Amino acid sequence: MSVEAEYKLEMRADGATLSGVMRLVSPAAYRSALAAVHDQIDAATGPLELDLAGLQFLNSSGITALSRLVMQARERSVTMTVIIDEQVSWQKKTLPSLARLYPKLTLKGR
Amino acid sequence: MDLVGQVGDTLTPQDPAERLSKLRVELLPIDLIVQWRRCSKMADFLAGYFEYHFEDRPVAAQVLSTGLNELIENLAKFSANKQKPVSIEINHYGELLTVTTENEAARPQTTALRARLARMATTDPEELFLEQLEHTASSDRAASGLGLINLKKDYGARLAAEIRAVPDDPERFVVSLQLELNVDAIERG
Ligand SMILES: Nc1ncnc2c1ncn2[C@@H]1O[C@H](COP(=O)(O)OP(=O)(O)OP(=O)(O)O)[C@@H](O)[C@H]1O
Ligand SMILES: [Mg+2]
Repeated sequence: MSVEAEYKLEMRADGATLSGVMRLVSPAAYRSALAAVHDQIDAATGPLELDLAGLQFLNSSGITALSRLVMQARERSVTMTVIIDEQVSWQKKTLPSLARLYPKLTLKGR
Repeated sequence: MDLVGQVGDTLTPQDPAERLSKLRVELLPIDLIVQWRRCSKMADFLAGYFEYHFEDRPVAAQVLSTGLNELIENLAKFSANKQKPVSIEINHYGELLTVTTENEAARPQTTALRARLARMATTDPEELFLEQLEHTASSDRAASGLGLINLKKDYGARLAAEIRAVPDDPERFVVSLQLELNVDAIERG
């Protein structure tokens, strides 16, 4: 399996930024790649911001992985803002549907 | 249940004389498994080849790469024999673009595909999308099961498969999966 990273995950005090191209092989691969974000939601005491604007591509296993983050936030009632770029096709199409999973999730254009 | 036959959306019949472009690629699934990024590279290459038909090339390339990547990942994951060639064929007909993949699959995957396409042909994709996410989350299943639904939901893709028997092997099937996209949906992004 290739280990070259095409994406970048940067953790911030109040959230995380994902950028590049993320097309990992399975939901399990995403689970480990995004472990730090899951931990952050687990430990959150305030709102979090997930910046996806620089994420050019995400495959459907990744959308499932993202929905797991959203559902974890929903379970813990953590307010979440997702920063998006409307010029990026998958973000414009998929993220509004994902937002329907959780009313305390807001999408914000960058 | 007999798996053999046609399933999914009704596709638009095309006249080969109207065809503007065609490209067909054959590859071994094992190559994609060994280097998973080849799925993405192949999708980007094919998208780049076809983007010249579109006014907004960057947007078209994004949409095409997204769709192709899902179908190529499926070839890698669900081909029964990873050393047997599979194919991807793209045809552009002015108003429509079609992608056809062909691979052999085992009975369980073929059954799942058939059931999925049949359901997708009659159910609102947005509803299926949310249902699938809640389902995967609750069952913690390994598979994500969202790829085909998402293509239909986001780009209004029509999807159908022709399933044929493999002579002398009742547990194997030839799956010819066809995706049809309107050119204006590709342009809009
Ligand atoms: N080319 C194929 N050959 C045989 N079966 C297939 C093929 N493509 C899809 N399937 C079957 O249809 C199901 C749905 O495919 P889909 O791409 O929507 O989901 P997935 O690949 O399981 O997950 P995801 O695409 O979200 O990573 C698959 O789980 C598989 O059983
Ligand atoms: Mg898939």
